[in-house]
Amino acid sequence: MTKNSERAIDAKLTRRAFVGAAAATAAVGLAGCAPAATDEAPAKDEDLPVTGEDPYANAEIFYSTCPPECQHHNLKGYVVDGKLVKVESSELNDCAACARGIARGFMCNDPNRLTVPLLRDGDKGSGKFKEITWDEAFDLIQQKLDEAIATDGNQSICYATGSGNFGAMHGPVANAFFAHLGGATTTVGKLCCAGVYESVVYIYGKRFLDCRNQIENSTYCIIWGNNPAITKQGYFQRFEKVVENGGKLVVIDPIYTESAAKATDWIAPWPGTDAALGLAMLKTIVDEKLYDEEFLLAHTCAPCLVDKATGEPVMEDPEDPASFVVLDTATGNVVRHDAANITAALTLEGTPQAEQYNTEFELIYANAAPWTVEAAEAECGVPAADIQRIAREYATAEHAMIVHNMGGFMRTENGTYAVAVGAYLAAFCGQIGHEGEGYSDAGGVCEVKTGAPIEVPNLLEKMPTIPCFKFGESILNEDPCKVNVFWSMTGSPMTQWPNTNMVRKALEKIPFVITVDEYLTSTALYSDLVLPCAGIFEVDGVLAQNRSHWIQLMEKAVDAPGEAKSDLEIFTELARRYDFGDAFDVPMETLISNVIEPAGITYEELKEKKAIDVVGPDYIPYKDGKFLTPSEKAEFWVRSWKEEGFDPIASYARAEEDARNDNELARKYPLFSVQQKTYRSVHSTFNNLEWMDEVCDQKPVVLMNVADAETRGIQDGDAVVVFNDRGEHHGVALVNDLIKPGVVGLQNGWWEQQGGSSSYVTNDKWRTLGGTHCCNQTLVDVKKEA
Amino acid sequence: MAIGFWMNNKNCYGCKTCSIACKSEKQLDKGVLLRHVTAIRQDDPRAFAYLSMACNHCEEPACMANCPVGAYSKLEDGTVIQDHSVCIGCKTCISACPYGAPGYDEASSTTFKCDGCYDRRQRGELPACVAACPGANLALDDMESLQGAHAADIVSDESSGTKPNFVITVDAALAEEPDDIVVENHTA
Repeated sequence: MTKNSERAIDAKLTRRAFVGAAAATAAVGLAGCAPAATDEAPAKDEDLPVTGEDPYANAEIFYSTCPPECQHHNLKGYVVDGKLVKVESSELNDCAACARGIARGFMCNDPNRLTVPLLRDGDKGSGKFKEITWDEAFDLIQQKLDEAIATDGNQSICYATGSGNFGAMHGPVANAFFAHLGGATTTVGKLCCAGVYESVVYIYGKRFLDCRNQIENSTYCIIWGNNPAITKQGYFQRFEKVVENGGKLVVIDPIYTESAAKATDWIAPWPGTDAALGLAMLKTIVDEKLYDEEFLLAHTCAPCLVDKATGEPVMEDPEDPASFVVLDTATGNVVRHDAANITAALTLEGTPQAEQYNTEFELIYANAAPWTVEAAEAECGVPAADIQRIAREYATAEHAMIVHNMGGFMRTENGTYAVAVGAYLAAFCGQIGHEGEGYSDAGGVCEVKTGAPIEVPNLLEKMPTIPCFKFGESILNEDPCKVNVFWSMTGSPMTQWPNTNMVRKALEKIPFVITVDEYLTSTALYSDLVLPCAGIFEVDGVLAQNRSHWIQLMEKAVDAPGEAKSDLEIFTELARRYDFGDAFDVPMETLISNVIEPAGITYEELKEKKAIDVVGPDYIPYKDGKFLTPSEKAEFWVRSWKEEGFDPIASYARAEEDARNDNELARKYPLFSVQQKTYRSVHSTFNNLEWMDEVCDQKPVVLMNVADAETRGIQDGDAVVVFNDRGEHHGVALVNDLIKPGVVGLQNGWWEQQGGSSSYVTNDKWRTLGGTHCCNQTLVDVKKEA
Repeated sequence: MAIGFWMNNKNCYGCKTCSIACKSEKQLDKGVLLRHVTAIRQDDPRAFAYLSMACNHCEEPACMANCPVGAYSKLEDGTVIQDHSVCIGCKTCISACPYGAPGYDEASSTTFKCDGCYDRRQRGELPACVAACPGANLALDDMESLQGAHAADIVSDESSGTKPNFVITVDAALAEEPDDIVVENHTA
């Protein structure tokens, strides 16, 4: 193509001039949606090399959903001659499914799918397996389970489910099977969202309440530490609408992400310092009296009293968790927070009660007080003026929203506090519970109650748990127990759990590792027995989980490849062998009904509608400031944190693994690293697909700032090694100024067969407040591949 | 009449759903891609944008001019279409096209090219890529309508050798036209 300078000079307007014009009138003429197809079909030319025939005209249609940890889009599958030939985003969605959802059609026909059980026939990791029959596989599993129970008890069986399939006939069925078996060891430690579980659930009363239906009504939207252009790509255009409507879109991220590129502001803090950034915003808001006093008094525990002597909230009735008390300024009496006709005091200064009590408002301010914008600039690496500006803008916006989306900022040592500070900001400013406002989480079905497909019996004895962050140490040291059999399904610890070398050592040590999957995953490589699993459109089921607003039927459209079986079929066969088959051997209709009837939905209704929106299109979480706590107010003081030995009010302290620390680790590994999501995959799912190779980067990308690359002699496109004492991650350098200098971006989800996961280097610290995963607080260095 | 694609480079966030929807609709084999999404990163001023490009259904299509077996023709509505049954897989069209639009299929030793989902349009449906785009950042329409709807945006102009029919709403931060950068990347 010719360059502009070489183009004919008689062109009416140069294209560069058009660009200028586009910039000047950027808001004009943007199509909100694609033009409707014309009703008038073009005249058919007899000689055309097109048939005009619809290859899908006689297809049989099936509906299912895309069930990894994503938006759970409804999918429509076209079956011709017993083959799933095409998958589309279904008309039931309110936003379109993505490339990976559409690739479900490819997956059903992918020659790389597992089709028969595989038994290890070489060293673990060698990839050497021999094919065995299902009878042999079931006999072997039964033998290994029996031996494990006989020698070291049920606790020597451990199972782990991941987020690869949120359908009800997968993880919940495993829970039922192992409970019927007498129990098994499980893993603890949430890779994703301990930070929000351990803060918002206490402060607001419930989580997973998302504001996706309110984004376009927002005038000021802060995307905090996440990248919805990739992780919420179905509705990312709603964020773009905020800008088109004249509002602001602020992205807080050390990386200039796909989302930051569409925002009005990019704020780039040092990884893991978000709590300090938020506290500085809060201090600005309080100092400048920009908070919403009416909302604070009516809908939060800000005025509630905390006893200085005990450090605990004062309750009118110790048995009633909703009986917080406040100081009524009119009478000077201490009364219940919800007493009629009172004016509660936010601060006690100058009152007789000040000696004995603090308000929660005062405690929060005390923790925010050290974080002047100057102090926050020094700690977070964000200019003081920017912090002050976004604080003021957020507080005073007509409708402001913070979107945390269980983002990467909470996968840090201060993650739980960082999420809590966001919850404080929304409540202090009254920017929640109304149109265009809120503190947006990742999903929404949890407003309704759902059930388990198969009853999970109560265990006679309590089973141990193994923190997945320290899986290696736990297994090698047999602490808390020896593990003889490990069952891995709907997940891939070898790519997703931190410190991969330790995970690998654990899998090598465990005598019998079973992986159930559609593909030979990184974890399957280190397994003794690999069972081929049926996938989407190959199984019936239901999805009623916290990642979308829909309860969805999952219809079987085609047979699974080869002899692949569903998780339910596998556990049902084993249950029969252990004489509790009756609990599992029930019609699918009954299993589905067990899940959805608590939500007031019948099987017949779901079968007819395929997908049901349980919250509705105008959904506003915590509507009108009614929180789901015992007091129905935002309860800032968190008992659970106190019990863990932490301050029950959010604060910030420099993390252990921080490049500014004056210690050996920081000197040895001077770069921060953070994990990036890619368009290739959801965690590790889809990453192996040939279709993704065709449209995405084919190797792990290591994003580096020009300054950091130069000092290491690294150029764009160089093969590089990211390393620390935990291990090495190999990738290709992408060098530019789209990342904060001093930070490198690593990509999550790459398989062993593709060079391995970035988890080889990630922080496996356990246990922080709330048990957060600290992958985004990982120090590394980078060098050119030798 | 001349049909062409419109692409919103300003709002596209690069999800590649268009590429995969096309591949799925057309049941294309391994390695065959008729719509490419390319990332454009720029340091100063910072920009991170994408261009999604398929066939530009040029006024003077190089594929048609160079195909030795005359597999290509231009329909009345401007669609540049390939009669796949006569394709001999010589790849002449691939080297002739400045936009990398045709895709070679190793399995069948033939070349495929975007026909703007002519069949779907005949049935009153949108092209698969347009229908699938989550951000509604693609359209196919008559060029006059597209230029009317996006008057201030760049239009692949007459100084290009093949007179492509492509309207792009440009990310204002980009210093160069997105299709220039992308085509240079393809040929680099």
